[in-house]
Amino acid sequence: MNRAVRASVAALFIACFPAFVSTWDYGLGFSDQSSMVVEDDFNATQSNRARAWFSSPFPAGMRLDLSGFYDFRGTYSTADTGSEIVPLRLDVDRLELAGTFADLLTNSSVLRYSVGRADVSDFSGRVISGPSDGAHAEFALGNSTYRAWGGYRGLLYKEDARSFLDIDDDSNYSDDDEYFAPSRAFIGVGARFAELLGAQDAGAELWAQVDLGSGSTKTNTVYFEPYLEGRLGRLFRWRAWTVAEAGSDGDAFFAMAAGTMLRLSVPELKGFRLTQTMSWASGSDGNFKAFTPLRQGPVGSASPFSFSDILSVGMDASFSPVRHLSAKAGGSALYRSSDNPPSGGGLRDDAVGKFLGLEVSSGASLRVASDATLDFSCGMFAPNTSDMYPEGTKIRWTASLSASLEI
Amino acid sequence: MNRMIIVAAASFLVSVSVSAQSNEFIDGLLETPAVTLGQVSYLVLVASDNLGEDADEARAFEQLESLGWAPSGGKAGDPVTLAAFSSVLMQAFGLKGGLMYSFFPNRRYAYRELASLQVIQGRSDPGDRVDGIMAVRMLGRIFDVTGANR
Repeated sequence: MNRAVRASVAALFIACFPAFVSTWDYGLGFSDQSSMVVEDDFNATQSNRARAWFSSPFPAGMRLDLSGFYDFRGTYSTADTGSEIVPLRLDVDRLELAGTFADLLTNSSVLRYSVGRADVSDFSGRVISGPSDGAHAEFALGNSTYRAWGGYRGLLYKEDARSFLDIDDDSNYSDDDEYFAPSRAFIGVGARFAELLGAQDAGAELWAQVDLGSGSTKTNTVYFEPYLEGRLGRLFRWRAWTVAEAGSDGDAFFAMAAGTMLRLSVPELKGFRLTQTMSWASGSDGNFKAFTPLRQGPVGSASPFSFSDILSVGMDASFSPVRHLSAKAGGSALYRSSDNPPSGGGLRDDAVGKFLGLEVSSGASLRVASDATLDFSCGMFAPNTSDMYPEGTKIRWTASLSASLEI
Repeated sequence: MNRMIIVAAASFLVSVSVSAQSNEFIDGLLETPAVTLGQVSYLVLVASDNLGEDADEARAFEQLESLGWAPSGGKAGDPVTLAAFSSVLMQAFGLKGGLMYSFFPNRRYAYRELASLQVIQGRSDPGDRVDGIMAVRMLGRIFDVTGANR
């Protein structure tokens, strides 16, 4: 960089800096999570995180949000895998420059845009979720909203990216020397029409992912996700979505996923909520292949399955018995979609059924103060040993306690 | 339409809690792009029954200083920041605040507390200026919060 360019950058910085440091804000957050899983072995995980954030207006009507964290993670296990300590992980979880243009076309139109690292999610959160590096634009015009995304996921920590689209991704994940996620880029577009029919919204999104890695397999995928969402009277909300996935890993393949949600909310009854959900992801069976999203997530809280080759039908209830305390409990029945072993593994060789087992969980969250919270949750997964898992397969127990403080 | 809602809210506040505040003061406040410490003193102290309704802004600011709630070095004509306004509201209405506010009852944590309580809504920064409409809106939400707490 020559002297003139340096001087220009310095002058621009000096000119702009007072404009946005005058009203900047910052903070620190500390969180601690202790969790355990007991099945055949005892596994415990201790995770501590210190997170610093900075937020400020930026020239040209933009806004800068920046946050990074230090993470400690230690695991202890009675299994052969033993214990592991990751004593230091420094990373950026948000670096976003965002802006807004109001009244762009009409006085009811708004264009919002952002670039950098920020959370990205599709409607269901089952195709992509969590942080991504890239750009996002959203144009609201009357009751309709149009959105576009583009980004790269190869600079994310692999545990955050949770990319498991092919065997190269699996190798990357199991390689202890590899920090970053597989090199994959994505684009997405979406349109949502609010109150299209009464209180019901409708929309659709199209996502595409390109494998930029140098591995042995090139897996490119496209996802089409139409959805409906709305209210039924004052007390009920509902949503339904489906995802059609098409891809190529040398051969063309197709996969599907779908989900529904119906929720009863009675705010005057201690904030009571009763939610019924169904989510399904195809497995490799006939014309379909196992559903492979950009970011794989768990399907339950106590069971070991991820959202692929699975059907989950569940119900949970939550309420707030006293101010600042909320409690929840729920359960779900889990089935495999195909005749293949599901992601959790451990099925016996002659397993013929679909029913994998029953999951039950409960939890409570206490807001000690506006800046301090305590959360506790526990759950169990009872495997179906009558015709799926070997007799004697133990119940899987989980428990987690977390605390956080913002200063 | 927005103006009508604010005027209605102000009228409600006037009828409920600040009955003797002059219509001129409310009208002037709603037109103000950056409210001053004097205006804040009058608005908040009268609404919280810490000041007689016949006082003026100068007297209100004196009272704010005597209560120890005025920002150090601040003058009645100085524009107030969102954090400073939050601190005055917290103290005038006796809000307890979060863990950090209980140890360090300063403007920073007062701002955080009111943002957490949704008294401050939307994107904002502690150093932002407060316009008259926002001041009246925040005062109205303080009444909601304290009403729920009592």
